Amino acid sequence: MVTTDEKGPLTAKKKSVIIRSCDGDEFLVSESAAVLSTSLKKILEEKEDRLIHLSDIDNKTLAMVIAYLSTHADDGLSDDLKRSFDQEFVSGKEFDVLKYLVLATDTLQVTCLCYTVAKKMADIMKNKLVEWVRREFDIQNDYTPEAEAEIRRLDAWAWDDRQLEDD
Amino acid sequence: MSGPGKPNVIALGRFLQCRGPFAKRRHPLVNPTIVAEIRRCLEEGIEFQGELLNFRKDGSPLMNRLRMTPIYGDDEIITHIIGIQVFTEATLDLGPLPGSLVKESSRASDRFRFNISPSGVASGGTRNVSRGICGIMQLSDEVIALKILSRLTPRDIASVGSVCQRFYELTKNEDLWRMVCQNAWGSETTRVLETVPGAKRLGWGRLARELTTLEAAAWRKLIVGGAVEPSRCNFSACAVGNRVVLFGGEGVNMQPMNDTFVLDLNSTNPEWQHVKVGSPPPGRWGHTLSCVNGSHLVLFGGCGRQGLLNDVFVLDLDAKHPSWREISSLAPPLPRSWHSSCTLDGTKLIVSGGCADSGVLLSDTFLLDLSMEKPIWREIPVAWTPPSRLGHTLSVYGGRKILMFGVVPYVFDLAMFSRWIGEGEPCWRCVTGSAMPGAGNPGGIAPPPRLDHVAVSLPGGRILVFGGSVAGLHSASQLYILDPTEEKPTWRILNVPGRPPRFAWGHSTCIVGGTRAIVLGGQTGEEWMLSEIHELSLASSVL
Repeated sequence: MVTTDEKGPLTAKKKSVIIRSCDGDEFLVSESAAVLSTSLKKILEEKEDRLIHLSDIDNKTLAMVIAYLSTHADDGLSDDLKRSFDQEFVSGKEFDVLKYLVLATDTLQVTCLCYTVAKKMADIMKNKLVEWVRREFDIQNDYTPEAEAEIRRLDAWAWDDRQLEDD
Repeated sequence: MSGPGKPNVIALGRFLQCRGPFAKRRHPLVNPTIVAEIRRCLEEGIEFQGELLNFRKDGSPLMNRLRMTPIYGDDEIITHIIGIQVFTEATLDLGPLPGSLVKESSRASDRFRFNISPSGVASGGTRNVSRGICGIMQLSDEVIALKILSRLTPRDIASVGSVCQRFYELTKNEDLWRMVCQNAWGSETTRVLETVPGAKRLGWGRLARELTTLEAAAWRKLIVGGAVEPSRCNFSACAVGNRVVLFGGEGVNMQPMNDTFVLDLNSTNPEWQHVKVGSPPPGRWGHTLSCVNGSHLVLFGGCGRQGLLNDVFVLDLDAKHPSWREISSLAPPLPRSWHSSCTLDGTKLIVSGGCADSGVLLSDTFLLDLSMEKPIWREIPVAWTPPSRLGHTLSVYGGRKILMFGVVPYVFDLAMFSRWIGEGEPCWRCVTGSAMPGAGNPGGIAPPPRLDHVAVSLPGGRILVFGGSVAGLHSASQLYILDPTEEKPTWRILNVPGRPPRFAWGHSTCIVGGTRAIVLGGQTGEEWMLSEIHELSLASSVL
């Protein structure tokens, strides 16, 4: 799966970089898009290599991040369009997908997208049961039953007269 | 290792990455190509066989021979994966164990390493294989706390603490709580809260809790020194930081006053002080006084010696030589008294309703942006306005919404409206109650109709209403609370310990530091007792 820059011959002259996901697939990205990631920018400044291997990020997530970077590197799009793209970008995505996105954008230091994704995750987490949070984040409960009961007792105001959701 | 319907590799993810109970990253010696191979097999739906490094609970290494076989259902979709594993001792020097959560946390900042520790046993493939590794535990504390948790509500933060020990530690952080408060209540509100001397020592976590549950709310009575002389009524009071400012009012024989008094609640023995202010505006009563731009007061309208007024004056209380300055602008609102006003964004004055000449009630809404060099009055155009009114209150919540609560006896019993400014077309919307006479009120136990009451807008958007002149035999000191942000806003009665004042009037009450409603004066008959102050404090003070 190699995605090409779809902007035609005008931008074809521009420098490109190849980014390889941990699945081994390679993505062709314009340098102007890649440098929107602070991490990629640093790497490109340090070495001439046009191939960057991201062993932390899988295909699906990397494709999404690159779509974001390319859109934001496109000078032909207005800021309004980019903002609405950002909103569209996170809407309807499952929590699981967002988890990988937040991890990837944190690693790649794409600050703006990282915040948008984190905010969307927080919106989904609101009013959720502790069990839901454990399940979605795949977190093992490392409390003893007594310790958990005590913590729940001390923070009882978190639960008093409200209904929490489990989906 | 998997359940029906949705095969998962959660268990695989867990045992692959952790060494030691708090390790958040897969150990570098875990061969990433093996992991990639497992992923490839899962994606392609073929069997995997191989060996990989794994860790015991105590962190000691062992080799794990693993065989994973996919089981297909009727429709060619993987329904289960059978995993068989055999363990053998591994002799490897892995270095010291990551000791504690604290040590791991301190390393969180250098997580930018590309060539080790792939994290996602991810699948973008078409097979129905879910992603499994617990990615979140590899996120640094910074990302979890500052980016995700900081966007939750105070109550969510409190409940998330019981997810696991790591989350508990994160949710006990004062910086996180400050961000939570700021995100939930707006930076203007947190800025105001920070000016409260007790608030900082109280801690944001505690403050968030008390302002959410209102468990610490209590009435208190204060006796202050000094005097506001000559005695008066129908003045206006407003808080600037922890100072209460009183301007004008109606003296004996309906004498309009134009003097300024300040009561500094920061001092150990607060007392009223007459402040000499240059170029005082014409005397008046029934006007409004609002705080803008930090330490500035803005005065609008009221009734003067020559009748109703529509002039605007601004005073910088912190100036070396405080002096009133008139702001003249084209197309001001009609002259009026007993209107209401509030401040939006800390810089914009909103004026609404009131009583014009010959007793005509107004229903318009005007905005004056005082952050501009030459402020201009603008009438906010709306398709429909709530009925004309006076003696109502405007409370700002959620940054850009204004809640109007008011009663005009004989016109409508109770109507409540909310206004949007900046989000598309501004419009009024009925929140609870009804704009139609005789219609029922589905919104719980609503406060009985009243005039010149007190409305306190709490951080987070809730509104507290009490006092005013109440119809019938109802007590004016009963507190009512409404959460307009709820899907179905309902009124509730709030019971608070301590002795409430018998009377409380909107124009003589002000909110100090976002958590204290200062009710000036008990009115006994004709006399205002300005040395007597009742305070409704919403958070406990640490002294």
